Amino acid sequence: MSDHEHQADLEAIQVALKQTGELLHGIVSRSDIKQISAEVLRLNEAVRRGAAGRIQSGDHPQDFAMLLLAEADDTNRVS
Amino acid sequence: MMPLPLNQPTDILEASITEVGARLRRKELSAEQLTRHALDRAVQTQPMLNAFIDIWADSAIAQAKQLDLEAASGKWRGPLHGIPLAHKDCFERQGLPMTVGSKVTGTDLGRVTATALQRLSEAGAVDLGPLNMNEMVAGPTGQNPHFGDCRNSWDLDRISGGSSSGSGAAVGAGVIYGALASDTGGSTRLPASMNGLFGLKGTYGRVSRAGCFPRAFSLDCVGPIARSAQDCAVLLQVLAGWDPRDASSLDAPVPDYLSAIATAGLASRWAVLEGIAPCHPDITRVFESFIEVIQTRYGQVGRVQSNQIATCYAMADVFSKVEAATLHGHWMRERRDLYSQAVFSRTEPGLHVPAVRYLEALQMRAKILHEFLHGTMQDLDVLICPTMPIPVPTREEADVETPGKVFGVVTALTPLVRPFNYLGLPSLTMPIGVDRAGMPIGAQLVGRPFAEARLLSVAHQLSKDIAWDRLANMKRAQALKVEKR
Repeated sequence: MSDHEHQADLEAIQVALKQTGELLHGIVSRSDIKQISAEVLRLNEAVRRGAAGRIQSGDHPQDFAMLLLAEADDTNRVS
Repeated sequence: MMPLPLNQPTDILEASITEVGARLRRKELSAEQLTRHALDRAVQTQPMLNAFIDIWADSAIAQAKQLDLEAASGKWRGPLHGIPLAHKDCFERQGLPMTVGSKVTGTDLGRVTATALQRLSEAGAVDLGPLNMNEMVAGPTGQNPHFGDCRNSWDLDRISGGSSSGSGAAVGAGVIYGALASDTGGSTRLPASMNGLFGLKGTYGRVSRAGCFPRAFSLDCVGPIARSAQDCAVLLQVLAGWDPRDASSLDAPVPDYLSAIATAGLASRWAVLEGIAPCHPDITRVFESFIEVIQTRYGQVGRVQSNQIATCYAMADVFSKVEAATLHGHWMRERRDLYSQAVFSRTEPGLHVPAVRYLEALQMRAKILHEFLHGTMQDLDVLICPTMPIPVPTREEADVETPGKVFGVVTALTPLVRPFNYLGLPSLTMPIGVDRAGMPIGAQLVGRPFAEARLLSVAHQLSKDIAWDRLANMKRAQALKVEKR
């Protein structure tokens, strides 16, 4: 994404966030909306890129806890 | 500001938990004597450190007297019988106030005592009172506009680290033998590292979170800060294990951490995890010299990189902000002015992250962990990297209440720690040396799931190998600062 496109996104999202904070959540911002918008765009982009095309029908959040138990280090035993 | 007066090395408050426990059992001193001594040290250091939200002297002495009575009748509760501890003020105590470092929660009283506190009490620990922390468990600096900033025990002009600021400062100052901390994105490891201590974020689900005020329930891990790996092992022994009150608690075996400390790390396979963030030259120098020590004891240390770390950081950040915004929504509407600027600003983005992104981060978690364990950590037992890429900042440098500064400060302090909250892997910080200002540098050891016994064991051995001496290094840091003036 070019700097120009990023700037345009930032400006567009600022307008949207100003409204949704109050309309959807009833919360009045106390922050610099430009900084909040940049943070939301950064997080959105990073997660979207990390997950792109990789979510499958069988994925479930609880898989994580099961995997922790299944992959336990071999020193975790009661002697 | 005058430096903090340090304990003498022979002071009983500088002994290990095991050693003090043995002296208590031999009746060489009583729990009451020890508690009074710790309280004196707490009162002495409080005006400088501000590590406590409140010092509960009467209650602590009453607990100690009760423990002495029980000991006199032959009843020893456990390995912490008579040991003075204190805890981050985010753990509920039934009928007692819990501030969470905030004015928002007001005078709300704890409903049910946190499981971690219950277990410590059942093992005989004395509770000296609530410790300072970043407001609402959010922030890596120890700055708190409501209760006053907590200061670093090595240099009062530097930050203590957070959010478990009082836990790091009070243990570092030799007031208490250990403290409970909680870690969402480095909140145990950062203050431990910045105060030259050992701090353990266990595997997600290893220690009960019941009764611990959350920042983000998907990430939070309760764990100990102490002055040695051995003391951490004693505390973890008491804390670890499944808890029916915590839905995220995992039912895995709990080994005998103290017995395993001599052997669990043997033959561990190591690699340095590189390429996450550029480090300050002092940190690189001390860290590379520590790697040589590891190679001497454990053999070849490889070098690996992971292209998933940045994703893990972002996904953890989404959990943290969205879950916090969910919890704080009604307070952000009704008590908005009671928040600090930094915490309000850091929570606001959570209102706006799309729900789909949050769920993607949740659904990808097992997949990314699997890839990490079978890719980056393939044939490895321990990954190591510095705990922080920069030296301990001054309070002025890290002032998050300066407009526009909070996101930058958080990003500078947390890049090496937060990703492991997303992965849920056990991570332990240990002191490995000092920078040119004499301030402590920490290394972070990351293991496979439930590798706490291994991490404690290798940290114990390596700490002996480098002959780590906290008090001597604190004294040198204070002298360096005087010289600089």
